[in-house]
Amino acid sequence: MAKTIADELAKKQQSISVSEFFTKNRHLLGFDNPRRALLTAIKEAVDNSLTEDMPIVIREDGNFKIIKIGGLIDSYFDKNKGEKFILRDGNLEKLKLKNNIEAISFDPKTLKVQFKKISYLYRHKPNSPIFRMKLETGRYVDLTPYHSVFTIKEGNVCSVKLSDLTVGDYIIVPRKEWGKKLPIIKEINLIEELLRLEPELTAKINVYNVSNIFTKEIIKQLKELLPKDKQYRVNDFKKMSYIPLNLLRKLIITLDELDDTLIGYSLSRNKIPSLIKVDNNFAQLMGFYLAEGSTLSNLEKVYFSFGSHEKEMIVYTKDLIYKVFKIKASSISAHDSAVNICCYSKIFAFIMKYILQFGMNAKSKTIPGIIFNMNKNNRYDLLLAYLAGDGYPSKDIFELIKTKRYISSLPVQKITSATISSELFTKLQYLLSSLGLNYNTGFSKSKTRYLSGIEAKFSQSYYLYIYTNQKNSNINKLPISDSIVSHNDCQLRHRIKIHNQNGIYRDTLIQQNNNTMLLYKNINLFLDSDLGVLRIKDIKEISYNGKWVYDISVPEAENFLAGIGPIFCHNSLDACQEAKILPSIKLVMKQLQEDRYYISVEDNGPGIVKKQIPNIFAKLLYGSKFFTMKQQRGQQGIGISAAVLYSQLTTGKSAKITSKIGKNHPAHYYELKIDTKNNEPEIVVDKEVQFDSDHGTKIELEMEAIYQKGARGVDEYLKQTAIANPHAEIIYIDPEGKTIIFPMATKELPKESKEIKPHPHGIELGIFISMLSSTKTKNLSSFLTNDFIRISGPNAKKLIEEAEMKVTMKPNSLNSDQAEKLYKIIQKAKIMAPPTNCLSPIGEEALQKSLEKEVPAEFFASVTRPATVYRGNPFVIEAAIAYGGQLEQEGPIKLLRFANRVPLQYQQSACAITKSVIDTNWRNYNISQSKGALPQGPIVVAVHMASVWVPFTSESKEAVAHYPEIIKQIKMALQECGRKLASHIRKTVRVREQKERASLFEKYIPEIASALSNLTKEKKDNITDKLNKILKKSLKNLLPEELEEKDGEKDKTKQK
Amino acid sequence: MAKKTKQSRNSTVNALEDLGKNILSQIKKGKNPEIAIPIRALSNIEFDEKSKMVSLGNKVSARYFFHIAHAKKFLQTVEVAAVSHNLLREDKHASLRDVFYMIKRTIPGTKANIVDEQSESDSVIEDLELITDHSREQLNINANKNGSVAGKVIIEDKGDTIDWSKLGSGGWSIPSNVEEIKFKKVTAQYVLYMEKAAVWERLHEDKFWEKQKCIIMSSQGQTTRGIRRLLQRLSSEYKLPIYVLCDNDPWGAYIYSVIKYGSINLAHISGKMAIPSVRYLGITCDDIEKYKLEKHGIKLKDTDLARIKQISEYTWFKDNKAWQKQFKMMKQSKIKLEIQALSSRGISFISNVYLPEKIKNKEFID
Repeated sequence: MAKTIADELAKKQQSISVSEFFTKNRHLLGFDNPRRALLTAIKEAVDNSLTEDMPIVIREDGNFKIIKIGGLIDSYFDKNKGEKFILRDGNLEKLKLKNNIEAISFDPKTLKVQFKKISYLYRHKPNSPIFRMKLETGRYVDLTPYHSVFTIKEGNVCSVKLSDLTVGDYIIVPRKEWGKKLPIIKEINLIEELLRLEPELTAKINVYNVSNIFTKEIIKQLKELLPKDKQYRVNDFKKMSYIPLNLLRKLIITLDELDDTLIGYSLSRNKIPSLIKVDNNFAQLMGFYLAEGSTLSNLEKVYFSFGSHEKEMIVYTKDLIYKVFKIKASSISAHDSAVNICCYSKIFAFIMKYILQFGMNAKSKTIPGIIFNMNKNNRYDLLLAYLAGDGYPSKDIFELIKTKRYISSLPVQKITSATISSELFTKLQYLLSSLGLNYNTGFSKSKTRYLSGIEAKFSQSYYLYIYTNQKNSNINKLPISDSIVSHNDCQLRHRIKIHNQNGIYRDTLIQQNNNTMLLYKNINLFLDSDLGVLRIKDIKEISYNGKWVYDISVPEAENFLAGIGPIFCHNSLDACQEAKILPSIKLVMKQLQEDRYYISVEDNGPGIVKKQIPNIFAKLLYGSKFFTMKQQRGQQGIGISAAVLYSQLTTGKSAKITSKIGKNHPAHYYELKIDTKNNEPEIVVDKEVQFDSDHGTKIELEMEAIYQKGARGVDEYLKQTAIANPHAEIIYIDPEGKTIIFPMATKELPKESKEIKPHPHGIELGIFISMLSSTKTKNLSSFLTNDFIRISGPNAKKLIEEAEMKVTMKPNSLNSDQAEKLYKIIQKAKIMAPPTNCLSPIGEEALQKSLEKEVPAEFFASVTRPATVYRGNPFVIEAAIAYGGQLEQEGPIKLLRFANRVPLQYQQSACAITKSVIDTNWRNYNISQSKGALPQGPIVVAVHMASVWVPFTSESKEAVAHYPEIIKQIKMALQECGRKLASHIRKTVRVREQKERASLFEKYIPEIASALSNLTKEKKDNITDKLNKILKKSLKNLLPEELEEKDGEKDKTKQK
Repeated sequence: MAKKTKQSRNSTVNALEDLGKNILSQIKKGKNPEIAIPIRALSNIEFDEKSKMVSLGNKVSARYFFHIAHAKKFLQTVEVAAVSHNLLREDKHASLRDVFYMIKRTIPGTKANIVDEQSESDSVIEDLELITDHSREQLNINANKNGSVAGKVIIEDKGDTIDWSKLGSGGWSIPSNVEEIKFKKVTAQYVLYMEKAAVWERLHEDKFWEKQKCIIMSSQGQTTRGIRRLLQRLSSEYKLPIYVLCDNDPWGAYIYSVIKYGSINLAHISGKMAIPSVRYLGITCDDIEKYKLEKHGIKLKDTDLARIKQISEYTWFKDNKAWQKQFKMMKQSKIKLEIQALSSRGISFISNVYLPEKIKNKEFID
């Protein structure tokens, strides 16, 4: 609304220069006097992943998958196009996940590995070089320099940005097996799987041995399904006891009835059971397939190639094929040194290709997700069978399979295996990790070698080295410097000094006794955890052609397992609120002359891209949040450019801006003026400079100003800003050179606010008309449905027809009468309220904490109301109250007003917040209040309104307009606080009175003694003594009870 | 007589000293001292159908010293006991107001007074009557004089002979203690007691007592103990019928019932006060109709209606059909009538017409 005023003002005065416009309207903009100008200028200034092919481990609706993060996220974005949030001019997209997808993460508290639900998916345009971080065992992950991974520091696991890491640093990876957390499957029902495929693929597949299904009911169903001239086939099915799979699709039948059936190709002899047991046989067979198997893509056969010397293994495999698939395979010698086991079974090939999906040939081999749903023993079986085929020493490993032993009993130090499938290489690493087995990797480029004079081409291969003695794996080493505080082990000291040893084995740490080593406090938690560390081998920039880089959000855990070889990655986005950097603002003020000041404001925000700097700082009415419906801090008045203009008009000096957007970007320095005739930026200086922080913006201004302390001064403004932004740190150097630090009250960042489209009831006619003319939509119907929330297609049609217009009309073809007519009809129509989850309130607890920090009171209470809506705009009201302590006893209460975390210091009496405070009956809460006035007493009341659109009474944005819905919510919040306060006041008053009365007994005693002595002739002193003794005894029983009650109440309010 | 008085005085002194000793022994045992006091409230009132009297039940409450809510009352009780003890020893009498001032003082070191209002000390005196089982008069504490009487009666009081028919326009004012008055000659045939002093003055001016050969008596508002005792003596010693004239409202009805059956507050001394033979003369709801006084009624307020409901449930009214009928008529007509409303029919209508007719026709309510 206020924006409209500014727009109208600007339009009306287009003919005059911006400086004239500014001068005429400075009162509206907050620059009406030098004192206020200073404050306004400061307010303006103060306010303001992984690459696509990285595999990630997820569980989608319970099914395990190792999937490329890019593919995963892109597919979800494609499926839910309408629901993504597009942020930062399309550079960032965000999607809330409704599906149940979980990632593997570690619990930051217990350090145990678990599945955790993913809440958001992100992708953003790559805006920095991409780096590959490679660990000592060969695992690597590609990420942006500001994406974090985890390291261990002084015994604690903490996240660290890639840009802050160097070679040799320790990175957190899973150490123990995590596969047991997966659900186990015991059998694969092939019919069920086949039914999931497209019918075209399964046209020739029949199900056999189905005599028991032909009930009258099924026959009836079949006859209805078949055309009349084909109905005779039902008799054939019954006779031959089979049914085509594609007919089965259409029958109403439970699959349980098909348990003992077979499947096969039509007219083919080879049939296989439709139920495959997932047992050790299956696992071993698939392991051998991974190593030696292939499937012809024409489905002619599945075959396994063995060396001719591996006779035992050949027999064993043939046996497995029969056991699992009931297929008798034949051995065919391929050449001198090789024997193939061939299964000419089309159905087997089909199953391998479309259902089991272990890959067709050596290059495309992979491990499907289903394998991770096998139990540990079976996964181990599969691994051993694979290693027996592809690994060395093959024979020894094969022995292990037969004797059911573990690799630790092998006579060699390590098992080596090689594959040319990068896919298989990655998945094997996850398989090993799921089993808690540690390994090393290697890589050899493709090369040509001469073997016995014959040229042989070797393609590039990936090597895996699995240690038979797991204890000596690097993963079991921890950094000495971050595990041990101090020690008096001279051998160790020697090794560190002479041999540069910087790792130490877990076992050494576990077995050490406290006399020789002092460990970091939390290292024991880590030693006991599911985690290990591996050192960074190198970090280097790689070229990246992906359209996006990706991230996911895993609430609570804030990490997920990803990479070529599993590595825990932090979920993080780039800068500031979105990047979860806690904001810090530094303000410096210096007095230059009596009425002239220098101010500089520096933040650690995301920075501003170079080409935007002149427009933002030196063009009036640029970059307003017109049409963006998102709760945002700051953007007071008409923007920082007004402050720049004021500075320019009062001192003639230009504004100095420095901004840097990231570590690998230069810092840009501008000196800017506003060309007041054309309202265009005038660049005085433009150069690159040094900047202390990685990112942030700094503005320096000189201006005519009066610096005053007090209720409307800069100091008070900063104090209140600190209250409304408990997560921010403010450093202030005042004109006297004194440094004042407002520390953070909480380290938790506020919930991010979301951008929403405008609600049709929340806009003025003027805005509606300009939206009509500027919309990108082609017709009225899509204008209403796309540019607004909560208008559905049918609804739009109804509204447009009611206005006697056509849905196909071009939005910009409406004349102003038509526009107004449509607008009025929309305003009258019942439209669902907008969503309210797009707001970011300060939060009850945080608000109270920051008030406690800044206000010296004895009692605090706060409340955050549920979100509601006024005129189509969602909003949240929060209120907090501080009472007693060192607060001023007399006079009216101190009222702090906030809108979207910005303090409102002027126009208190015009504000809806003030009205709501006055209208609340404070006498109900034992607080004195005269009619039509603020209540009185030692009280500070803070009220915050968070909304996508706070309705201000004027463009200087100092008072909230009087909407009944808003006033109602404020009053309800105040009443809730008032009730808490009243109960506190009553308690304290009662306790005080009771104490006073208890002391009254002492005073009563001489009186009653003299009266009694009068009656009884007993000596007065005797009576006094006795009574005093009784009093002392009973006081013990009297007082503690009351004190306990008081403490109990205190706890209660804290909890709240 | 003097001997008898002394005996009574000794018994009172003993009762007070027993109270002191009892408290002291509790203190010596290290106990939180307590005084047991019968409860004076409707919940502890019994109405004896046979004797037609209100009497106090057995419910007793304990008053502790070390109890935030009781301490002050406890102190007041002991203070009043000590004051009364002194009065008795010195053979002096004090008024209720005197007693208030005798114990009223600020407790050193506090802002609290032992008593703030006379009602507090009055109430403690009533408690003390119950605790010691001796009446206020026996405790040598007198109420203020209240009420006037005139009629054909000659009495002797402290050696003076007084003729109630020769006391000018004011009549004789009734002292709070009438125990020691001696009746020398009573020629009146009945007693007419009225709620309003103004009505008494009217009748006195019209020499109503002379014409009707009666005694006219009044107080202002609630009937004091002195008047009630005097009425009882006239009733029991000379068998004079007693007639009561009150406003036609629930408050008037209660004044009548206090004279007849005793009061809730002083239920413990009903035996000395209640006059079960007393009759209610008017104003009745029937009078309103009979003398066409509807226009002169005052509209009943909510408090009046609530009071009607309350007293109509009192045991002594509950089964009294005549009174229930009156209450019902009051509620229906929604008006109340003051005695003075009779003046609308002429200033001496009450003495010339209303009362003689009523008495002649025996239009009473029991």
